Amino acid sequence: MRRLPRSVHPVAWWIWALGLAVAAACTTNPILLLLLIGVSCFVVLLRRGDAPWSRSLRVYLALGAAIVAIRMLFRVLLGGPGGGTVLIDLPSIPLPSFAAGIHLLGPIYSSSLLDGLYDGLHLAAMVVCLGAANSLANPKRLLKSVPMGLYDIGTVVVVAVSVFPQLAESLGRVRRAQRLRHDAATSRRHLVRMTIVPVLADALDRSLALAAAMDSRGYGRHGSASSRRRLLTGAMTIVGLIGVCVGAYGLFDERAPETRRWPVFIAGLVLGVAGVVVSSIGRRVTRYRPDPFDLSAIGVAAGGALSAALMVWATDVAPADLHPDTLPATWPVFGVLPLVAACAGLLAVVASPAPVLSRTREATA
Amino acid sequence: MPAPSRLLRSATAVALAGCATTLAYVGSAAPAQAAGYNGYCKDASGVTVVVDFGAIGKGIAIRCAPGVGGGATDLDAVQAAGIPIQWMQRQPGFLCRLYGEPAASRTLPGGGHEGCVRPGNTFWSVWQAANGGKWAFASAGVSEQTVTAGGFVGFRFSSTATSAPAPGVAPKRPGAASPAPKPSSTAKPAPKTTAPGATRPAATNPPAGSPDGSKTTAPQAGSSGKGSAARSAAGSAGAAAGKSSAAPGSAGASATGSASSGARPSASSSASAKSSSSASPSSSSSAAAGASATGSDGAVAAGGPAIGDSDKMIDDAKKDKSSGLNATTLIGGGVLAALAVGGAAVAIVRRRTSG
Repeated sequence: MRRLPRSVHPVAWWIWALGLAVAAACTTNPILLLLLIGVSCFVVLLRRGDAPWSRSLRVYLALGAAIVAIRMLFRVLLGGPGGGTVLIDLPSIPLPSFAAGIHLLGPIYSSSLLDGLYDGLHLAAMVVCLGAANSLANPKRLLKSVPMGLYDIGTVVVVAVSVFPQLAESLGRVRRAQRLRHDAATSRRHLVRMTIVPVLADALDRSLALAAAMDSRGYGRHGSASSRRRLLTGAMTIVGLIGVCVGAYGLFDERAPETRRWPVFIAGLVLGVAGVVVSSIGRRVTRYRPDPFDLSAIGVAAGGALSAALMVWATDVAPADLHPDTLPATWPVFGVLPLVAACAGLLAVVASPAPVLSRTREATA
Repeated sequence: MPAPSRLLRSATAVALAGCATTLAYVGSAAPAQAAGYNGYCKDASGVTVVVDFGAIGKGIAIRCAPGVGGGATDLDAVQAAGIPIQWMQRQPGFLCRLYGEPAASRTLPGGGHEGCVRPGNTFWSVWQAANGGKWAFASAGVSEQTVTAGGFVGFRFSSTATSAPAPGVAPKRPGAASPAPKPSSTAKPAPKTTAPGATRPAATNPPAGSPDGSKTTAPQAGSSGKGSAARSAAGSAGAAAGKSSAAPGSAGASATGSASSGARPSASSSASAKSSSSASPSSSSSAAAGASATGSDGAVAAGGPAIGDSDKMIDDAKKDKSSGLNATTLIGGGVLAALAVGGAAVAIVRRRTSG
């Protein structure tokens, strides 16, 4: 018997994308960042399905381009010190003394513009990596693999994460409908009435339909647990998660007092895990067609994890490669290790099977 | 769907255009180095730039920026001296490297952002002095602070959270028998705690001898608002000055400014809060330097760091920079191009087959 075509476990795609994002966070080298963007886009193009959320990558790309443009614009507006070639010598707007340290306009240096470009690419690469995860992973399948105790919070997170691709898809539908009506005279004029209102209405309709569908399939049932126990476990989980957040912040803040670091983190972790365990006791959950975390999923996740690990290693071994100089401007060169780290995400193409398209599914049925 | 693909295409075009302009500028940029010379300035027509590498362990580099007079900023002096200077990429206006140091390959205590500074822990402290005067913590950023004509600009790499000592040489030109006539604003060499060359109103300090000089309680200014942080930093700086005025000679090390080298208000104010909190313990070595400087002509204090050849350091800093592209980078560019072509091909094929 032939195996049915399966999609890769959504958690694997998220691990892959987060790994690429971590790698992007380690560097400001524009070629490495473009490589990471290119790798994630390439994998999305090869491995995305034809579901609505799969078409959202271009919105993330546009968002990334906007980030780069805004960063560079602000370097021009708030000139500040720089060096190298003066590209345009704008007049500086004098500010009163209480705004000392803030420049308006002034000469635009090549180094400050380059810094803005690198900085913008840095953030844009992370945004595109997360966008790739959103295009590849089915958000509703992701919800299926959330542990039972985290179910309520998991639902909120998944709905929040999938809002943006849904909006992108709504926008596409509304504009397609406008084009089909061929109403060229009015389409440009009423942005609010012609675009924003239909998009929001569409999003609302869709979320209501999703809620009804989830309700009819038994999502969000609490079973036989008493309301008091539900309150207890819910409070434990939420307090635990807040503790983890505060503790994680303290871990990265060098000046946080010792008591706000590990103790809060560990206490929050323990509380959160206890809440999850307690709430999942006595709840019986059956899963229809569970997604196995199989070999392909491991391969996909390993690609992202390898990329992140190699890039973090490169921050120790070859730090100069990751932050190219802009004053004087030099070629953003790098060695073998960052190159391999940036390209490791391509492993996901090898590991994952071809995407399941609804058209091919109909053809085989 | 023509419209979204148009969007995608224009986004790609913008990205490619950005890269192309970047590479064009990178290729064309050839920084012109002004003519500074190694050592102290020979007369009052220039500004001497002292760079104390501190914990980096490369000693002290002294270089003259000739022809830099009053009204010029610290940054002008550094550039006129031909010293390679580099900003933090992600924090515009925050000084990252001088003479290419701390090199990216160096391991800083506690790590560092972009391999150079960690505000509050490792950073370049900026100092001002008139000839024969005392080092004073700069009250504004490098590109804001105006130099003392004929005087000194000092940088010291401060590598611990608990001390921001002044540069390890006294600000006095060896040749000058008597201090050159100074323009108005910069004070006499008398040990006054007001910062020489202070131009901003923010730099006017609370009176020295403010309450409780013995315990300088450092405010945790790390995350508070800029106004209150700067004010409390200035307050504790005044407290430190009040203490150090009891011990003559160490006043040079007490921070009188309210902002350090950074243009970012929050980061710089926290840095100066740290430095002011620790000015009293740190002043031991620089107090000795100040004391010896009044006697001998600008010699390094006994046991102080060695003075290096700044010409050689500039050459080293330039040598570290690889000028051309290497093979792996070209491979990376090739992979990028292959990904773009392959991705486009896949997209076209899929669109054809799926109708």
